[in-house]
Amino acid sequence: MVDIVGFCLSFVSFFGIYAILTLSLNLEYGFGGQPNFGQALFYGMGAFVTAILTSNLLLILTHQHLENICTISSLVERETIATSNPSVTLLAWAISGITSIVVGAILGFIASYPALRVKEEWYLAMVLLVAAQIFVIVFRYNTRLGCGFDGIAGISNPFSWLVSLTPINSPVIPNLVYSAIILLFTYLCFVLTERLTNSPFGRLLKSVRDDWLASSTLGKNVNKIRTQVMIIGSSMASLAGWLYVYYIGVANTEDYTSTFTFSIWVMMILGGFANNRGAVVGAFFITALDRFTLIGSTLLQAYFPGFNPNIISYSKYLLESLLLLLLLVFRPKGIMKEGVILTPAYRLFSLRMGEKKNERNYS
Amino acid sequence: MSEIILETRSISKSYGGIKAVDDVSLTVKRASITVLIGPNGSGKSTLFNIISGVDKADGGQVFFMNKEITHLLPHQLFQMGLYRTFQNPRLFFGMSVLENTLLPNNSRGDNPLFALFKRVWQDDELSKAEKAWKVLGTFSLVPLYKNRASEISGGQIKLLQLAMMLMVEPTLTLLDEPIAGVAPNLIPIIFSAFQEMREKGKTLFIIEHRLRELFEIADFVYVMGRGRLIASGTPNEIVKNEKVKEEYLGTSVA
Repeated sequence: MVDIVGFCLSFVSFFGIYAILTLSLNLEYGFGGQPNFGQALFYGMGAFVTAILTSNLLLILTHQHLENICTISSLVERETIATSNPSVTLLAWAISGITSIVVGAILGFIASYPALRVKEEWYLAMVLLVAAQIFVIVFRYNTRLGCGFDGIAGISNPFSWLVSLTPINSPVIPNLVYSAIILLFTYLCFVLTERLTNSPFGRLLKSVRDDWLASSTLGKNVNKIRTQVMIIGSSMASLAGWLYVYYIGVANTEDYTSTFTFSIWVMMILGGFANNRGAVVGAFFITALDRFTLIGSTLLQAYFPGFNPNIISYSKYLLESLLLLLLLVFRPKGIMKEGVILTPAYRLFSLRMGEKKNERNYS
Repeated sequence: MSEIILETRSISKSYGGIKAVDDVSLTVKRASITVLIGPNGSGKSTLFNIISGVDKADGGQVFFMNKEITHLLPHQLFQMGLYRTFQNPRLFFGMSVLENTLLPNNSRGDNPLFALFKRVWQDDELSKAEKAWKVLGTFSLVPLYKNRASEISGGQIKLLQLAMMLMVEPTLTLLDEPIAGVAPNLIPIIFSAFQEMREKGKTLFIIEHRLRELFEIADFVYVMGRGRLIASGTPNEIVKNEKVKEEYLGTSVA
């Protein structure tokens, strides 16, 4: 009844993508103090750039004439190429990945512009929230750009061609490979944020978060630091969008609404501000909630045919808020506390003071 | 005659019709300890804000090492060698004492690309750490190295501010009430740090309420009252000045 392998793979994939998004938001807000309420915009842009580029690239690279990417025939064409032409499929996958990261970086650069203009950082939050809403509206109601309500479908797993090479005629192998790749990227993003935040640059981020004016009287170019963190954060979010589209097979505005932005905020708050491990843990909890309520609704429908599945999908939000409330009561600072900036200087001090080697909390 | 390091020419600044700083022109000599005193609300901190680029003046000019700096931004002034502290200490309260101390000095790891590779900035970091060990040791702050700045006492915060300044050893430091609230037994340590800075050719420009605390070490004193400069001279001249006594309305200056 429930496909265990499929469930596990979807769990791993969603967890990986959510973790990247949470790490990115945590870098921007937890460390850098830039409240990004437009995370879904950077994520969604990565997704749509990927979908549009892939749809056209597959045709260009196989020397076919371009057509409207929204038609059923072009969708079928895309899927045929993905299962039969590995080199073209992988090339399109790689090019769209690099492009979406670059687009994310450019968007982050543009987004940092209001960050430089506003004195209260929460105005930045509002500007980005509005930008994200505009993005959804444009892509939802423009039937050419992102194929409107239906979205751009037919973006197959880039390893679909593996099916014909293996004896078992099942998509398990490509799914397994792709999930592993998502996890690999998650790990890379984790290492990236750990290195960035446990360095002199990490100190700059926290100083801008704590008091940007004092930071500038200490010679720090606050505007530059804000721009840098927005560029890094939003290219990570776009990377997640690229991974997600190839996983789910369609770029649809439904997945990139501001509701989703706040889910990422819940993951970050749950895990703990300014703690990369916490971000991953928070993403894990919310993924679990998300996946288990989904499977719960499938099971309920199977046993009780008249059951309204909406109840379960709404219960997800209820449980999310319950989790937040419990958190505020029992662990107001999140599951994991903010740690010290782990540099050789800290090691030198802790060694001389005779501290335990793995102690990395503030006292 | 020694060289002038800082000069303000006719600085003025008003807030809502009240002249906080009114036509203030003064000079600070290199390698001196110059003190600016005055009652509450006399415009001392506003003048510091203007010199350090935190506030913009309505009129007048500021020169630092013979260059006009009136329109430069705080971070540019810092890179030229001008350092300031705030009256209500503005530290980074979510960061530890050690992290605060290491922050002011530039590092190759400030660039996010280099930050990814520890090898590039490791040596920088370790030499800063050695210096921090010495500086924090002077003020007995070493045992608090991983306490958040929000969790140490007000006096210790003042000391931490000075420690951060000593990490940089700036050409000119503007100190806004550096010894207010500091335990009396620590004041000699701070003064010897000041004098050591002066011997190294560094300049200190200090705001205090009263001259008494700094009488021993001050080279030159300016007095402000209601936004204007009302007197200047050596500490001995200032305590005898009738106008200054009047401004303090019966309270003793020295």
